Amino acid sequence: MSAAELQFLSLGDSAITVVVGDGISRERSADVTRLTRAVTNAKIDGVLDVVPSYASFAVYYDPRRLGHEMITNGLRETIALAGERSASVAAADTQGKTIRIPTRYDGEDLADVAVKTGLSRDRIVELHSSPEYRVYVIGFVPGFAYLGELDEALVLARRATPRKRVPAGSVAIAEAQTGIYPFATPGGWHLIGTTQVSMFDVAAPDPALLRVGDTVIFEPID
Amino acid sequence: MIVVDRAPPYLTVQDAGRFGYRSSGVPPAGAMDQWSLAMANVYAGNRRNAAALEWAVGGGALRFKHETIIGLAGAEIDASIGDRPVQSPGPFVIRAGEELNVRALTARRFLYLAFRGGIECPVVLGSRSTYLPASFGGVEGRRLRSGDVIRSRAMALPQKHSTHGGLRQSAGEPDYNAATVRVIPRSEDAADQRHSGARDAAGDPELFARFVEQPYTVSAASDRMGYRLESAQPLTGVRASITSEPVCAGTIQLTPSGQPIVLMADAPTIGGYRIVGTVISCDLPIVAQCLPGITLQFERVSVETAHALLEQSERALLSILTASARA
Repeated sequence: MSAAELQFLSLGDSAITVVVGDGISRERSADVTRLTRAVTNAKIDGVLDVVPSYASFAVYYDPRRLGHEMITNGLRETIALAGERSASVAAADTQGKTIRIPTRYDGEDLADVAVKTGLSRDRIVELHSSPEYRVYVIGFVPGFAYLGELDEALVLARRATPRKRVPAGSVAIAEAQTGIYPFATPGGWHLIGTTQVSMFDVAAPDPALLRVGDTVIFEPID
Repeated sequence: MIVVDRAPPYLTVQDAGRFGYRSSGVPPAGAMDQWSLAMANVYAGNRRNAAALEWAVGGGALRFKHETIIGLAGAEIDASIGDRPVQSPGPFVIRAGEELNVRALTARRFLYLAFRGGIECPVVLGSRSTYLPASFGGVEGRRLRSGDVIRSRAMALPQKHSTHGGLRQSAGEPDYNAATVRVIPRSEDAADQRHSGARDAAGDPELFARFVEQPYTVSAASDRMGYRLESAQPLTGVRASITSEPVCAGTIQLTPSGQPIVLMADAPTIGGYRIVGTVISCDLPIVAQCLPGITLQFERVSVETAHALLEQSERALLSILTASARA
C-alpha cells in the first residue's frame, strides 16, 4: 500500500479522508488499521484525531496550526514511510488484543431471532459464540464496536421499529454484525444477550475497552 | 456560586469541545456556535474556550450569589438583571444576590452565557462539555434543572471594565443573517486523485451540483446531533447508503429519503449515508443558529478559501480580544 494508491478527499476544512479501498473485508480493515496506527504514531503537530472506518480513515486537524498542503504532505510522507517497512512488521502492527466477553444469552429478542432464523436457542448461542470477531469500527456512541463477521445463518435485517431505549450491556446482532451497547441508547439491533463487562469508562485514560483491530470472543455463561 | 432559579427547557455546560477521543467513538460535543461561545467568554474576561452555559428553547432565571461579570452572546434575548434590561451580545456586571431573568430568546437558537472565572465542573476526557447521548460531561452529564447550583470561581472584578456591550462588528465575524452557507464538496480532492476505485467514498460532482441548485428549510427534526433539511425536490436516484465513513460537525449527508442532514456537534463519529460535502468552520455557527423554518442556500467553496476565511475570522477575534482588554 503506497501513498499513490490512496485517495485523499477533504472532509471540510478540518479533516481529510484517506480512502484505502472499497467494501468490508478483513484484509481491507487490516490495511486501514496499519495506516491509522502509522499516522497516529507519527504524532503530527496539529493532528487532533485519527479515526479508522471499514475502508477509509479520517485525519482531523486544527486548520489554525496546519495548512492544507502541510497536512497532505505530512500524511503522504508518513504513509510512504509505513509502506517501506517489512510485511512482518506491518502484520505485527495490525495485531490487536483479544478480549473475552462473558455473555448470558437471555436477550429480549432471542425467541424472535429463533423464529426468524429457524434455529434453536442453543444453536444461536453456539453460532454466535464460536467466531473470533474483528473490531471493524468504533462509532454510533462512545465505545460501540461493530464486530464481524456474524455467521450467515444469523444474518437478519435491523428491527423494523428501533427501540427507544436499549439497556447498557446488551449483546445484539444486525445484518452481518454483532455488538455490545455501552450505554442505554435507542437501538434497532436484535438483543440476544447481556454482559456485565464495561465497554466504556470515562475515568480511564483509554476509555473504550475495544479498539479497531482487536479480537472479541463471546463466552456463554449461565 | 450561581443557582438555577428557573431552568429553561434546555441548559447545558459546553466548551470548545472534546478532542483526541474520536477513535473511541467520542464526538467533540462542545458549543454548537463556537464563535458565540468565544464572544461570551471574551466579554466575561475568560479564555475564549472556557466552559459556559448553552441556553435554548425558552426563558429561565439564574441567581448569582457573588458579584461577577457575565458575557452574553448568540441568541437575541428579552432579559433583565433586577430591573435593568440587558441585551445580547454584551458584558454585564451582576451583583451578589441579583437575578438574571431571561423572558425569551427573541432571535436565533442558542444563547451563550459565560461567567468571569468560568464554570467549575469536572473535566471529562479533556473537556467540560455535556454529551447528553452518553450522559457525561457538564453537570452529571445532563441538562441543568431548577435548583441546581453552578460553581464558578469568585474573581475580583477589574478596576475598569467596559459594560457598554456591543463591540463593533468587523469583517471575519459570522453573518448570522446570511442566507447562503459555504460548503466544501466531497468531490473537492484534498490531493491529486489518481485512482477512482472507491466509488462509495468519492465525491459525486453531479450530486453536489444538484444539491446547490435549490434552497433548503431547516426541519423541526433538528437537534445537537444534526439538522434535517427539507427541499422541494428530494435528491433521488442516488444510492444514499454507503459503507460507513468518518464524519464531523458540518458534514452534509444524503439520507435515503433524498433529503440532506447537516451533522452537528453531538453527531456520531462514523456515518453510513453518502457525503455531499461539509460546511466550512466559519459558517457552521450560522447553521447552528438557524431555527426550524429558516431557509438556507448552499454554495461551493475550496479548502484554501475556507482556510483563508478562518484566518480572517481568527484576526477578527484577536482584534476583539485586544479591544476588550483595552476597554
